[in-house]
Amino acid sequence: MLWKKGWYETRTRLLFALALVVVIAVLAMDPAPPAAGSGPLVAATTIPAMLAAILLAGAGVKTQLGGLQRSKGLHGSMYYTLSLPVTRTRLFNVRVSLGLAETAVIQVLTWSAIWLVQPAIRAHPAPSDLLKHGVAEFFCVTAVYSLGVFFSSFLDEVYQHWATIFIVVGTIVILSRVPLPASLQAFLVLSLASPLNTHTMPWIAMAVLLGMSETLLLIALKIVRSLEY
Amino acid sequence: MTECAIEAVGLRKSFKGHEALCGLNLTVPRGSVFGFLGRNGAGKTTTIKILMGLAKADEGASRIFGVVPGDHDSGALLRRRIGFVPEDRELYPYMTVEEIIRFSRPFFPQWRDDLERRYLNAFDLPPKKKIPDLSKGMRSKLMLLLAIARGSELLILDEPTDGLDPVMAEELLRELIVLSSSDGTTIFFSSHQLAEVEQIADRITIINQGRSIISGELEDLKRQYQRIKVVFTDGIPADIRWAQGADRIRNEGRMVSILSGRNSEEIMAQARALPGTSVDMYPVTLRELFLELMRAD
Repeated sequence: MLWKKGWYETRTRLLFALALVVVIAVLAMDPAPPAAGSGPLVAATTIPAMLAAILLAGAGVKTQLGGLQRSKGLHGSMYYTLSLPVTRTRLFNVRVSLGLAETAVIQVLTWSAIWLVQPAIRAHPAPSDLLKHGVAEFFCVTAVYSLGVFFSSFLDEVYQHWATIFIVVGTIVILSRVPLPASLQAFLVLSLASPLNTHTMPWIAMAVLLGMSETLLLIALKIVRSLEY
Repeated sequence: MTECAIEAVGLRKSFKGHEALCGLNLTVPRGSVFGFLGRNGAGKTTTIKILMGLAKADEGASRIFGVVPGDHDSGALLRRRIGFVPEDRELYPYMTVEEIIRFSRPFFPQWRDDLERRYLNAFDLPPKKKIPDLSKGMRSKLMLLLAIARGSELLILDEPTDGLDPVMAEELLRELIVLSSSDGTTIFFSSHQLAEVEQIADRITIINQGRSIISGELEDLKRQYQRIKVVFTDGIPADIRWAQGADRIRNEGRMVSILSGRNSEEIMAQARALPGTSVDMYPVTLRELFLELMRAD
């Protein structure tokens, strides 16, 4: 039943995200003939995907923890949730799993929409590169999502979106200016270090993103378990 | 099997330097209807939160049916046996009445379909209506339904009649008595409505500033405490030293009003021995007792 509750909390946001995907796909529509080289492809695919991911994370943070956070206005439903015979760990796990599933769905839909409206995408990259890019993108967006969960575990509602967006954009800006090997620039797997450019899986960047996501989620769980309401 | 539904010993809790609970002790026997009284900010809700595992005591220990409440597996299992109505009556705004009932039912193996149907009818709750569209009173009723239909052995109710009209409040109180007497459900409730506590509680604890100032069976307390009124025909003498047991003494014109917790007969005899007095003894209501104890504390 917790999954169902999670679905109720997710469905409106998912609908909103789908509408956003359509808008982004239409804006990114490019009827021009396929150009040579992968640079335009990366720009065409990753910028809208990145935008969608950041907006999704920012918009989604509000209910990331499904009423586990101590936000004003959610107190009553939070008390009801916490009176159920389930541990906070289980509530957290269900909520986060649903959030990740939601993130994956949005990514797949964004990709499908871009594939449909961008002739260049259909013509040039090898399917294996597209798949690699999709996987790398999921790791990147998962890290963004985890950051949102982390902030929502201790910040008041008003600050959560801004904190997430600020940190994500800040991280991208900093990483793009620090002279690290592209493979270590975790958030750049969506642009310079994209498999569409490198034709290889960015394993190190993905490991960094995975480690970051796990750490953030574990800290968030620890905070949620220690919260007093 | 432990005889106590709730046991709390030496509970202490501070918030930013303010002591909300200062060594509170609480014993709620199984099957009792227990009124938990106190002024605003006395520590009632903090106590309830600790009992529900929503907050942790800085010191002291609490147990419900012998189990320490909290966010662990045994604490989660314990919550199957507890129906809870918090002070805040908000529920999931995206669900209808029947959706939240359907959502809650599978969590509780002892769910009582009969009670669910009964209270849906008795409370006149519209199953298809979204929760935000319900009035405050209706939301209170829904919370009560969700707590009662769990088939709980213990109901913890924070101001259960808050938001109900007098007729509905009266019906609810009757239902609580029925639940307690027919199923042996222990009912622990906080309230400001002293008349309704007096109507249904068999035991009470009054707390003030985070500690218990009186506790026991309501009838015993009412027997124990007496109001003695002494009227002096020539004014109240200045140098009277009343016998021990005169807990609260108030001079009102030519009359002295004494709340005695013990030694009532001795105080009566002392008053009668004084020249020009008429003396009467009255039983006290819970309201009187509460007000006097609050003033004295």
